[in-house]
Amino acid sequence: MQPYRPNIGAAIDLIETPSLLIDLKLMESNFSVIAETYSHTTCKMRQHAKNIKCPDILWRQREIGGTLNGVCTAKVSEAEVMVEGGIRDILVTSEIVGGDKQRRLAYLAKRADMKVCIDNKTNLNSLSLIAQEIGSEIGVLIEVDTSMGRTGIRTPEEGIELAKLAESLASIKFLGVMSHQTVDGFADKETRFIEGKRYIDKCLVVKTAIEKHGIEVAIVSSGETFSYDVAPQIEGVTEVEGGTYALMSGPTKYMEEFSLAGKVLTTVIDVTETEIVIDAGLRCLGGPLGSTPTIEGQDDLSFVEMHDSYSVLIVKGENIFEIGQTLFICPSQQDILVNRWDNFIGVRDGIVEVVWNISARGCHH
Amino acid sequence: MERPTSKPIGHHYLGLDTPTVVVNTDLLKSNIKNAKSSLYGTSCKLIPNVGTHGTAEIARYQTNSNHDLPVFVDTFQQAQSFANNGFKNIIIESPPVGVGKVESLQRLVSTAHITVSLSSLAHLDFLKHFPMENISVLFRIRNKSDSVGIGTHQELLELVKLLVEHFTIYWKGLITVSKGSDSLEESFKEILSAEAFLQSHFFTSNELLINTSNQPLSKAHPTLPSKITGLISGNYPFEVNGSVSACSVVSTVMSTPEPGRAYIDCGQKAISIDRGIPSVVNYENALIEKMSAEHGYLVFNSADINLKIGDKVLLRPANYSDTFNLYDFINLIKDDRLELVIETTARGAFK
Repeated sequence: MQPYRPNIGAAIDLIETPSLLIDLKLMESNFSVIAETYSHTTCKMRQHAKNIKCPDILWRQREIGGTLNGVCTAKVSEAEVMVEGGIRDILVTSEIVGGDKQRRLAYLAKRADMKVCIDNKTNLNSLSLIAQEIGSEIGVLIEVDTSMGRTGIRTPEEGIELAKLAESLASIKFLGVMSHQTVDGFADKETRFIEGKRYIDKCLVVKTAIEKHGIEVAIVSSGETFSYDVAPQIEGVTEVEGGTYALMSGPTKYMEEFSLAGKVLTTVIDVTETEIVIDAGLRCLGGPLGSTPTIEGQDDLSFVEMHDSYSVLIVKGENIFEIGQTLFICPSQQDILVNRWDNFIGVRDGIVEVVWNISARGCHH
Repeated sequence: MERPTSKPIGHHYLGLDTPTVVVNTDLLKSNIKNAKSSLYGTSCKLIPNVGTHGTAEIARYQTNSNHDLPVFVDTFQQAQSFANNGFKNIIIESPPVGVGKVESLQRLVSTAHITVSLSSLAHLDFLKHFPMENISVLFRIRNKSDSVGIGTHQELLELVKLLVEHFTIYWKGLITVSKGSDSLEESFKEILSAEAFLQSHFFTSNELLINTSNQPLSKAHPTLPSKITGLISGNYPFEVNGSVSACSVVSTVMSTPEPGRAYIDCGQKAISIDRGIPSVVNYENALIEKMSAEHGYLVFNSADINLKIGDKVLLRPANYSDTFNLYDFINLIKDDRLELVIETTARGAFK
């Protein structure tokens, strides 16, 4: 069915709930932080599309500045949406396995500058064969596992072998190395700089090892939102894969220069002596393994139960909430929440300015 | 939104684009039949919570394509989706709070009979300003497992009186939600007690409905009081009483950087972990250790299992509803072959 779209120009209190809203001023302020940080650096932001899944928003960051005019995606199908949205430089940050997906990637490479990460020879050989068959060229970056304990090579030696193989294969262009990182919990600036540098340095060790074998490493794609200001200070890093900073979420509140721009508008649909019920539940908010969002400006409210389409919140102190009252929910995890919605409602000064389709929603393949 | 699978009908399900959700139609049909048979000999009907899957096709299996039978949904948008697909008797869990939802209700009643679940005077007030026909009301009452609903018999009586005496809307009966594994009997007790109280004041409930919150129906049957007229359940097409699941998510191994570990292309965006980690169906001793947004972390004993890049891993969701909510299309399979691709038309219908 057609997703709900409020009228452009409507006041915020006319928006039906639950709805996913973007405060455009706050999002643009987040984008300006990036533009300023990267204004005089050779390292640039390669914004991650997996967080917002909407080419229009990625274009907005490009207009404001700080980017290298390309984006990351997590999946081939997301990349297809971005190419359809006019973006022509894409790094797919997951290994692409299986002939069908590799074929889709190879065809995309006829329309855009496509890059993909690799961490093993089987995958690389298969990519080369398919790209040859289709007549395109795919850029590859070796993924280095620097902290996630997930995909990616574990040693520089593996990186050298893969780089050599990539150099030897037809329809493959070896471009460099990349990595993902994360920090757990609340990270102050000192922690971010120490941990961020430590992880990125692991990636640079692989770069140096490969270069020693006479292979050029043109791209080092590393760093995330938490290290957006760390990476450009490290020589050799050419781009940063940040995504969360656009809208932000609860767990990254420690990045005070960025504001929470994406929130869910909800309505109180029932009130008891000590609790309220709101019309937003797990389906639209998500709550991985029991994690819960918060309510903006309401420290006296906390989630006690989340059901399919509603949630129950307990009120500390006197319950002065009323049925029909609206509240803003601050998400606990942004990108899995965005993936559940079909559009963003962009609001400025309390007025609906734009409705964007989240066109890569559900792009799992 | 994701495109449907690029594979033709008849393709083997392990060859579909991954991650993807598949439902075995034979198991689905047999689960529906078994669930219905668990209520044979009672006057209680099984009301499908079709919001669980959000598809008209599966709802038709559940109702034998009889669109006059009641179906249950969570939201007004879901109701609209099923009304658009011809369903004519829809119970909505959410109360119509706000102008938008009341307007939705006005649109809905032009094509279907709608029953709404209310629990306060404020809810009734929303209906008062928009007089309608083709609409019924259930009052939702609390029980020990569910704090949402009308708290006392006296409040209930006042609402029933108000509705019956001052509204043109039909009062159908009572509903309560049984949450938690051992709360069914409590729910029976609460709803019967409320019904008896109303009866003593000469108000008769035609319907006494229990939303089972997907608890196994076998738990309800042995103690099911004869006055209960309906059990609402959503999970039963996919799994009856812990049986083999009719639904799984097919994923592909994308990296095997260390012995005993594999990373699959299915993370939290393709299978929900909101109510638990999924289990691995086709490798008995493999476990999902954790899931990030895009990846699943699979651990296993490399002496027993040899997983290679490209191998398929089938996952059983911890909660079906949460997982269908992530997909725009569901692949129905029969004899391991793609039989039909259906759209989850009520997906994302949060309002």
